[in-house]
Parts: sequence; C-alpha cells; structure tokens
Amino acid sequence: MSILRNVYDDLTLCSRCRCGFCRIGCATHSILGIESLSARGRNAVALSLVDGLVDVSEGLAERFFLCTTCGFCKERCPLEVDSVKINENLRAELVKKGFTRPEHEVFIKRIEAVHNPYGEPHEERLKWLPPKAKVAEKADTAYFVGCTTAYRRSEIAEATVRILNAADVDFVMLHPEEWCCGSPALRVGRRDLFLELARHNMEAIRRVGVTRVVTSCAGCYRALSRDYPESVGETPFKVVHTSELLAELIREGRLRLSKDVSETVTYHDPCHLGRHTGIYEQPREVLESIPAVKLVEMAKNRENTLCCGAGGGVKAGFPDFAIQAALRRLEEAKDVGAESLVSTCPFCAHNLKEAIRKSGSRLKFYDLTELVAKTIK
Amino acid sequence: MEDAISVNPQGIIKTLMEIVGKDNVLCEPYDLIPYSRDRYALLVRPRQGVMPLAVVRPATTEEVQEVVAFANKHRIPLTPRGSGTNYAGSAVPAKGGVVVDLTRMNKILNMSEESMSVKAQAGVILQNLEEALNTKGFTFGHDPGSFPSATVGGCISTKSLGWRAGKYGDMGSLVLALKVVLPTGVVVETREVPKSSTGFDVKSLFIGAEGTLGVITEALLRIHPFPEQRVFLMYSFNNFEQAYKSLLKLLRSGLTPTSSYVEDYADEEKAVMFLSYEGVKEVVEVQVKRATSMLEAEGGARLDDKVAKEHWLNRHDMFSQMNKEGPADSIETAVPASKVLEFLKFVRRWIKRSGVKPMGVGSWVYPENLGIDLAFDETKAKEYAAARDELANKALELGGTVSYCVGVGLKYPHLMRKEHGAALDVMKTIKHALDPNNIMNPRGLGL
Repeated sequence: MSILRNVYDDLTLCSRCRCGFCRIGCATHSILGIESLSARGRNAVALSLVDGLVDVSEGLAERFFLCTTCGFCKERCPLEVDSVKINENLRAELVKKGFTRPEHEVFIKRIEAVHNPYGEPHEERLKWLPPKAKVAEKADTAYFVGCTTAYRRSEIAEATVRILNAADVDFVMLHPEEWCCGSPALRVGRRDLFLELARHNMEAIRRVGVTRVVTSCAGCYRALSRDYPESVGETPFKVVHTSELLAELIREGRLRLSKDVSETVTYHDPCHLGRHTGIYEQPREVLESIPAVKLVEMAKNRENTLCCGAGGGVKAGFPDFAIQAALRRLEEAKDVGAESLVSTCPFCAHNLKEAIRKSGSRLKFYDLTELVAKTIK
Repeated sequence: MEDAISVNPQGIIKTLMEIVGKDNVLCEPYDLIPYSRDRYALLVRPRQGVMPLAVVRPATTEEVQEVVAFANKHRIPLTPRGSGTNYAGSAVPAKGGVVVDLTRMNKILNMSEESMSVKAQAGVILQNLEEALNTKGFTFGHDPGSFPSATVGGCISTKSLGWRAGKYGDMGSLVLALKVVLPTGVVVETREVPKSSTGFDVKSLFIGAEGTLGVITEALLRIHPFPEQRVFLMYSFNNFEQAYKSLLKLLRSGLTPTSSYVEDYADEEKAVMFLSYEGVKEVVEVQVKRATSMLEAEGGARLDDKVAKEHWLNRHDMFSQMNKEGPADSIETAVPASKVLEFLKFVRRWIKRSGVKPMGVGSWVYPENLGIDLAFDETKAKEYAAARDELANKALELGGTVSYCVGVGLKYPHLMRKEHGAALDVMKTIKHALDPNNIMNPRGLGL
C-alpha cells in the first residue's frame, strides 16, 4: 500500500483521535450505519492495510467504493484529516490490484473510446446547440460544457448559452477537442486516465488562447480549478462556474432579470461546488436577484449539506443507494415547503430528478441557469 | 467465566443473522476492525484493540432481547456500543465476544411539550436530538465534547458530563425513565416520573454501569426551553488561585453559570476563566451584570467577547485537536473543592516529572473537578499509564474520584477497590445477581 504513504500522517491522526464527528453528515454512514462505511472506520481499515493486518478483498473494496466522496468528513474533522484524498488514493491502489467495480469499468472504457462516460458519439457533443446561438471564433472566454450537460442535461447547456448571449459575453467552445474533464476517472481510482484527459484538455484550452473557462458543471469545475493544477500544473486561465459568472453579470447590470418567477425554491449545494471548492453564496445571490422568487433553506445547507448520493462513482456503482440518498434530500426540501429544488450540478440534477420521478414527488427541479434563463427577455 | 463460548462461531453468527437479518451481522475482519476499540488513548498502534467475533445491529428492543437471551444461554460475552467515543475503553469488546451496536435504534419516539420530556432510542446521536428539539423550541442541555457523535445510550452508560451541566446537570440527572434488557433477556421499564418513593431507584443502577448490567434500549429524558439569551464571558487572572476563588465566590452568591472552565497557565503566571449564562433574557442580563462586577472586583480582566465565543464554538473540537501533539488523553479527577488548590500543586509537580505534554489543566463545570488534558509519547505508553495512576491515586487520597466523567473501562478497574472500598462488593453482588453468567461487558468496572 505504497500510495498510502502520501496520506500516512492523516491516517495516524485519525487513528489517534477516533472522534467520529465525520459520521453524522456522511452520505453513506448516516444512512447505512456500518462503521466501515464512515471515514473513521475506513481510515482504521486503511491503516490496518498499511500494517498488513487485513487482506484486500472484494468486500473490503466495496467499503471504499461505497462513498460519494462528498467531503463532509473533511469539513467536520477537528484535525482537518482529508479522508476524501485518503479514499481516492486507496481506490487507486485497489484498482491497481484488480479490485475495480464492473460498473465503473463500463464508463471508463467508454471514456477511453469516445471521450465521455455515456458512450455517446463524440461528434454529437454539441448536438444540443441551438442554430441561433452565437458562438465566437475567437474570444477571451471558453464554455466547457462537460459530458453530463452535453449528453444528459442539455437544457443546462442551452440555458447557459442563452444567458451568455443575452449578456453579450463572447465565448468559444473547444469541440471537437473538449473531452471528459476526467473527474469520473479520478474519483474511481483511474488516475492514469484522468492525467491523460487533463493534459489533453489543458492543451486544447491553451490552443484557443482564452483567459477564462466557464463551466456549468460542479464536477468539471472542481476538476479544472483544483485537480488540474494539483496534477498537471498551474492553469494559464481562470476557471469560473456559471453561478459565479451569473452573480457577477447581475451585479454589474449586464444581465437584467425582469420576469417574475413566483416560486418558493430551495438550493442544494453540490458537494463539488460547495464543500470541495467553497462556492456557497453566489448561487444564493443569483436566486435572490430573481424577481418574486422566495428562497428557503433546507435544515442541512452550505458546509453541512447532505450529499445527493450520486458522486464518487456511487451513481454508477450503487444506483439504488444513490436514489435512497436523493430521496432523503427531497424530504428535506419538502420539510421547508419548497416547490422547486435548484442546484448547479448536472450530475446532482441527474440523480435528484430520477428520485423525483421514481417517488412521484411534486417537487420541480431546475438548474440555476434554467431558472435565470426563464427570467431574461 | 472466561469467554466460555459453548457454541461454535459459525453457529453464533447464524443465529444472530436469524434474529436481526443477514445484513445486520458483521463478521468480516474489515468490518470488525473499526469496532475493535473506542477512543481509549492507550489503544494506539500497535495495540489496536480487541477483535470481536461479530457485530450485531438490532433495530428493536425485541431483537435486543433475543440476542441477549441467546448470548446468556450460550455464555457469549456482549459489549453494548453506541458511537464508540468513550475515552476509557468501556466499549472495547471482549475477545471473541459480540458487540451489540445500537446505532440502528436511532429514532426519536415522542416529544411531549406538556411533560417537557422526550423519549429516544439508545442510538440517537446527541446532536440529532438537540437539533430536533431546537426546531420545537426546546433544548436537551447535555453537551459533552463528543456531542456530534455520542449517543443517548452511551452517555447514560458512562454517566457523562457536558459543557452546560452547571444549569442542566449531568446526563444521569436528565434521565427520567429507562427501558433496559437485563442479561437474562427480561425487559425492565421504569416509571415515567422523575422520582418515586417506592423502593430502590432501579434506573440509577444502569446509569454509569458501562453496559455491565444490561442493554439500555430507550430513555425518557427531561428537556428544557430553548434559552432566550446566551452570554459568553472570558476573564484573565494573575493565577489559578485567584480565578478559582472568584469562581467559588460566584457560586456562593447564587450566580451559578451554565458553563465554566478555569484553566491554569502556571508557566505564563496567569489563569483564564470561561463562563456562560443562558436562560430567560432578563434573568441572564442580571446574572451577567452581577457576575461581571464581582469578577472585576476580584481582579479579573475581561477579555474580548469574541475570544469567549470562539472558545464556545470550538468546545467539541478542542480535545480532538490535541492529538496533533501525540495521542491525547484526559485525566478527569475530582476532589472536594476545599482540596482543589492542594491537588493543583501536586498536578503541577507531576507534569514536570511525568514527561507528558499538558494541553489543558483546569476545573471544568463543577468546582470539584480538576482534570488535565494532555498528549503523551506513544512509544512510552506503559510509563504514561503508571504516571497517570499516580495522579489518580492522589485524587483518591484527597477524598475524590479518579473519574468525574468518562468512566472506568480499561483505564481504572484496578483502582475501583481503592475508590469504593466495601461499596465495590455491593456492586459485585448486584452484578452477580443480575448477570450470573457474566455475559454483559464482562471486564467492565473491575467487577
């Protein structure tokens, strides 16, 4: 378990302390309750692996893969132990030893073949792009669409382009050089593939010469803004999430929100945008700028948000659990009287909308861009 | 009985699965490792704790009954466990025994505004309970350092103490009634009133019993109105003696704070006092007004309220953070208030010769408490354990206790005779009568 040397100090700290404060908001442990499905428990097992006290097995690997890497554990840890990093390192080691999830292998092979985890034709990545949309040949800004947005939640892409055009923000797109950002590969232990994708995308962005990359996906945002610099070097461009850009455009008066949206909405903080990268207030600022919107907060919000259940390869690997976690989040939204659930991540949208459909909930779901697009002329 | 298991391990696991379902029995090494210890500081590597045979996760009192009756019949050691946050080792399993993990029993069953009470299953986490009560305008008031993870059953079983005990009392005093599965599988339910004069107070037997007398499955708990006002104060004094005497004067004047901590900084020739008051707004205002003028007259210098607030906000995390300096331990000794200053002198000398790294020496919540939080060298755990006993023995010589909270566990069973004298035989007699096969936490309390 050589890779665990990188996180050995954190493992030692957790092993000394064992407070278990990571458990109360943990997406997995707070539902399934087994110690080895909490950061405290997994860290104890990881240290036992280092010490050679336990063997790797399929069952053990499942404990490490059944984690959405939501980051509540790191957020709440009094010692700031990065249990997400520990788990991702351990997953990489498990994959090297052949302990992969078959469901993960499916999407990994698709990324390798057609640059997206859904196995959709690469040439159709911009199939959603409305003919009237204005896309520049040369600009300072690039819109990085992301796989889920492009192939599964294209209404977010359409809304984003509509808003950019309305605010006169010139932008280019990278297609055909935009590949999967690599986040799904990194999260499930395929660091090698992640590096390949990151290097490709970095080069593609460099070639178009932009100074700013806008993305409407929380997962792409985390990968581009945090994982790329950590893994392949400083990015010569600024990475901006649409929620940040929208807040800025509204503040500067470049985007006027004029139509009423008379709805009580609540905002779900995606883990990759909130706990992982610290963006909590801009989406709320945008929501509060929409005429007639009433924003209410769920009991668990911002740093304490309950994960939707989809992240870290869990949606693919453990789909029933992912829905179970999403249903709990829907309950929270219902408890505060929300008519609509708003978020800023297409992958959260994917899971939460499926949970809404399966449960027959009357809750509506919007991406922030969709709601904003509704209110501009 | 020494772990005398009369059925084979596979037979035990099969039966447990029949009782609670296959998914609720854990027996793989990777699942058992996290249950092999609690927060007892001396179980640092390579002493990793004790591996149980299995972990069973019942969801109802009836399932607990079946598990306990089966274990009693076959003399299988059981260790009840909440979140495993005990610092003394009372949730460390017996070798080859079964851990009864109560965290599936996490329902808040009933909250009554009229009775000012809440009924909760043993596995409810304190923070979840408090947040649920807060939405209804109530507070529980029990606020130990392990509040974000500790369970109702665990806190009762270790008779824990929290930051707000000056106003609300310790965990034991908040218990109105209990439902307990006895070692024979019989269920005892005490009456839902705070007090009765009809014989022994049976519920009190299980408070602080560390799971030696049965498994607590439900508790009826006293709740209080959510405070209208909370004020946090921090004062600096020239030395501990001055600060401590000021605290005693506050208490003698009827100005008992909700929370207090007087910390000794002997090396810096100063002491710091943290206080909080909470309750009805006007009452708190008067308490704070009189307390501040009294403390200033005694020579205290009020520090920025932000410092006091930060201290409060960090109260659950501060012990965990000490682990950066080495494994952290807490020696929770108490002596009569009249002996505290004498004991402190001993503590200061002990720190110099024991080789520990002191992280906090002070009197917390009750004036009799004088404890020390510290970090020790993990390569010298044995020497540290001996040094710790020296301090515990001194507390006993001064008429005190080795543990004002936290408990006995693996930490102090050898000092139980010295602390309790003939009263230990009373405990042993009760234990033997209720648990003739010694299945419940068999090493617990030195019985």
